[in-house]
Amino acid sequence: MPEGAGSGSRGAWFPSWFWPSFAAPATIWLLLLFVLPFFVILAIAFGRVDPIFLTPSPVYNPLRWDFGPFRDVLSQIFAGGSIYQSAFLHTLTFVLAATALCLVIGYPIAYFIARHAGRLRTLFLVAFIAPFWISYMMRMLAWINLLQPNGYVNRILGGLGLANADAPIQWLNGKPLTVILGLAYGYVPFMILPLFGVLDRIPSSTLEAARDLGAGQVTTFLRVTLPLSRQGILAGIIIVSLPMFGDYFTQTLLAGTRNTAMIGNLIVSSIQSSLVQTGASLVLILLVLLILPMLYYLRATAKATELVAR
Amino acid sequence: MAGIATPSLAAILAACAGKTSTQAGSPTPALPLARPDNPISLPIQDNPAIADGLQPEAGPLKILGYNDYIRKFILNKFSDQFSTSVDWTIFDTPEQMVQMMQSSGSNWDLIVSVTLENVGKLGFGHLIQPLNKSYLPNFANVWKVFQSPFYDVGAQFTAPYTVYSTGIGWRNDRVSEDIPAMDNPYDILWDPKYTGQVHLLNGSRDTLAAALLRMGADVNTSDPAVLDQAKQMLLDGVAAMNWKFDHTDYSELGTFDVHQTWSGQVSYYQYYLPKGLPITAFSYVWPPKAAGKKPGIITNDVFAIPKGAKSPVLAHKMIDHVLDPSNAAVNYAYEGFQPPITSITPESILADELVPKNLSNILITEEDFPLGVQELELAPAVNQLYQQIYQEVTGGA
Repeated sequence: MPEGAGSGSRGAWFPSWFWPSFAAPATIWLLLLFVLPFFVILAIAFGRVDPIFLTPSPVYNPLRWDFGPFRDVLSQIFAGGSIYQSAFLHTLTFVLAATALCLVIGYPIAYFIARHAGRLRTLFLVAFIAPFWISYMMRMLAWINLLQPNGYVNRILGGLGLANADAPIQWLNGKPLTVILGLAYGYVPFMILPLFGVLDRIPSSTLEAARDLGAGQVTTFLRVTLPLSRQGILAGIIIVSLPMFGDYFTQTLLAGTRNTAMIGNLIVSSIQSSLVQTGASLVLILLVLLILPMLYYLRATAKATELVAR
Repeated sequence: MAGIATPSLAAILAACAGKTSTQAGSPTPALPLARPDNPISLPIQDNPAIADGLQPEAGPLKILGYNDYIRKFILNKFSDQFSTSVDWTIFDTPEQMVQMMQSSGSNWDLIVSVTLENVGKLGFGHLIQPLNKSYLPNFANVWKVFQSPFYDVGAQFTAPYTVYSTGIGWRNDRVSEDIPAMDNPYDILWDPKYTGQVHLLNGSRDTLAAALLRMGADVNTSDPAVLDQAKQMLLDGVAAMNWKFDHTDYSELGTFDVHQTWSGQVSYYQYYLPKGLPITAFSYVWPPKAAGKKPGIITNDVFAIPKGAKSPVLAHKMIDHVLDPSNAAVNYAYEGFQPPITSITPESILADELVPKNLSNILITEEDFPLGVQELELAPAVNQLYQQIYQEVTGGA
């Protein structure tokens, strides 16, 4: 093999465009399926509305954009008691709670599979993930059956003396807890997988070294395992919470009330009505908000990579 | 593209007398609003009906419709009869249908179906084409009121598909009140005794109508003060009652006790009640026929053929196929929404046991129409206000 062929450095037989061309599919993909649609969203949010049909008339020339409707939506988010503000607060609360729940449930599972499942680790991993091969909608519909007043959840709670059979808990009547549990259930495998990946890569010798130096099990976990799995925790949080912010289906199926409405519900209802411009504005605002945790994640990852390289 | 239809529509409407002003101050042509006392003839200019005697196209017949709104058996029968296939594209809301029609209406051959509040904009916007009645011999079977309805004089562009009322349904094993005897049956939707147990239809018109009807107001009002009062009533209701909003309440009969519902859905409640519960445990009332004689909605959905449809003859044939009395009866047995066909009467429906006897009041006759009101076309600015209020009330839930 000629020197440098594998790295694409000068002197290789490849033309200079060879390696960069590998990025072409991804670049085209991004241009067609992200940049272009994103520009259309901008053109709708800052465009016009057909005066009769109330359908959006996108304006593709940025010089002719009208920021008025966007400003209206933005100001309503900061207006106390508005539905936009409520939806953002609901979304933030539900996503934080559900992500925390995913972490609390996912970490021990990932830890067990990575460190204590032995030869059965693949079996356990598949067993934990298998239910999630079923479509998200079907699993949520199953929860509707389970959570009905005469469903198994109430029957079990009744059997344990935790619920009154004559006044069953109305799980499906707009309870925030139900939405949080639904979100956590729906997304928990996406927390387990990155955690498992990180925990599995922690060398046993590192843990043994900690023990040799006198650390107990708890100290070893807190001082060694937990810090080393930080990147997995961050990745899990990002992977789980980003789609949760845009989720609307869970709320629709398991609650469907104003008191539990999330920002995704407002976006969908806007798009399905004549308020498409409002929907586009909400998409943009949500996008800006989600960029912040994403930037933090990228910075943390870059720092971690830097530390490893030293 | 969205902007294409607008200039032509604006030009057409500019010929009309009334004009309104946009926020920017430029004049916007007013959309003629059909009302029972103001019948509208939709304009035929550059979109004439197809010629007589054409052969059906090879297809496929492309339908834009609500999910599952024609029984599969009826569609298959049509496919066999005309050696074609049927492609069905779903829309969820009437507004979505209008958007799809405006952006790419000629992609479809038939709309199943159009609600009355959208007939005018599709007609004046030249998004639909006139019907050629020579392909619709079964049109003679529809109720007289629909032979020349006020929203489309002469039924030039539309054919009726289903009729239904919007009323109140309830689990009579769990609700003790005699709702038909109440002075205002709509009060039950706001009764705190049933907090967390009440379900309202989702949709800007139906949800707002719950409050407007309770107030005894016009369901097509454009009065901002009345709309504001209705909004406040709904917001109070949301806060106190924690209503559930959707239009598939038949799947929640075990969870919710009181429902604002369409009569067409009630007929298939019998298949969705909790196990062991007989259908006699469910009751329905249409307020105009209750003791208090409060107003109530009674309406119909219509078929229309998009302008530029690739298979317009097949589309006509499908309308005629569904209006055939024997097919209409088979379709009704599954769909639950009543066809306005003269030979399909409440008596025949009950005799065929298609509807349980205790729910016979979901059945409609032509004579019921003058008793009720319809949700009709609104001026665009008013329509937008309805939708904003709806979103504020429901939060998109």
